[in-house]
Amino acid sequence: MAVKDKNNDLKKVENDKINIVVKNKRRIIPIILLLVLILIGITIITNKKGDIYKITSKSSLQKIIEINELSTVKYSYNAIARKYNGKEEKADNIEYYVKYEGFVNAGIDFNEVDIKVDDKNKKITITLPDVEIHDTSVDIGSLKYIFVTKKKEEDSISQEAYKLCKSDLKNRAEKEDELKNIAKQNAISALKGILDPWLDSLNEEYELEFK
Amino acid sequence: MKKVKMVILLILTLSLVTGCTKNKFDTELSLAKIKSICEMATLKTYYHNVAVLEKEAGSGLAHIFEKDREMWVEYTGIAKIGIDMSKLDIDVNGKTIKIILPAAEILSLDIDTDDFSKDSFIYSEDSIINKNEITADDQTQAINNAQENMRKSIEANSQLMTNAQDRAKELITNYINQIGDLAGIEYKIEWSSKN
Repeated sequence: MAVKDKNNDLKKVENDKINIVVKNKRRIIPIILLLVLILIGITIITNKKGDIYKITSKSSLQKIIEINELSTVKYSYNAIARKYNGKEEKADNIEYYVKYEGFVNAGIDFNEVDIKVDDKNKKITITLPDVEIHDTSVDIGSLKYIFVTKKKEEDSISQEAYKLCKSDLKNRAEKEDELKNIAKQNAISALKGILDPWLDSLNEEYELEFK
Repeated sequence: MKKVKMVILLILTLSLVTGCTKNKFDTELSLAKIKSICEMATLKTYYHNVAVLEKEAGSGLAHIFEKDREMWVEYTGIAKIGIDMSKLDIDVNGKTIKIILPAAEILSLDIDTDDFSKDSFIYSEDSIINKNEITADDQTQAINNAQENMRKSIEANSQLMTNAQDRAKELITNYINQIGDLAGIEYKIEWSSKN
């Protein structure tokens, strides 16, 4: 009987212990959750991504070249270039997209303009050189990226993207058939504009011909 | 009931972590624009540019062990300088020609892609545990800053701008002399500047 009571007492103590543990667990879990919430809150509030705090740059003049470019048309473009992984240009192969702004200038070499005057026939003939592309310029500050595949810092993507955009712009400009025609027509207008004051001042009327 | 309370607490916790995101939509028309211009570029200048970008490590638990970083970029910038011919004024009075020349300006800025590569970039050591990456946008910002600095440097170089304007004078003088030679007339040119 005493043993039985003792066993009952032991069981009671064990049950009490279990109850205490369960009660403690029930108190501890919310406390732990609260602590986690506080920790997350602190992380969110104090979390701040690193900022660029300084950019400095120095420029030194290396060389100067004399040129004679009369640009008469400007082709401005906002576009998106795509970098493909491999030679096949398909959607599955795109590594990243880059949005850019740029322009292409076309015109003539002003020094190559040839002028001939035929006094007998009262004719001035101006021969223009071929129209050339003078500038394919991309504004590097306008570059924005969307990456499909992860890029490492060491890849120095900006230089690759810049060249990609220049090439893209050049290809788009070459497809504009009217670009060189407009450049030539504008060059003719510009030269005519410079010559008109002479023609007005001449006593005789001269015919102006552009080739 | 107690299990339900736990689930609700968990959901609240998760919602705090994910937070709210703000979507920003920018729509821009892709636009090709062809414009008539009349610009005479007379000088092409090459500048050696070095840009230094310093990026601080982030703060807070998520950025623990991050390091401050530095990136250097070395490249050649190109600028074309000349005049806007549409602002030129020419007045012919007999054998005297009066020309009012506009001030020289920067017509274009570019980067020499021949020597612009991965080797142009140098990075300081990054942390192994928590990286503070210098992103493509950071690189772009540094180079753009250097280009703008180059622009200011050129504009402040009055000698260079004057040389560009003088070169334009030379080219226009040659053109006029060609006409004069052919017409058998020696023109006298009077120059003045629009500043």
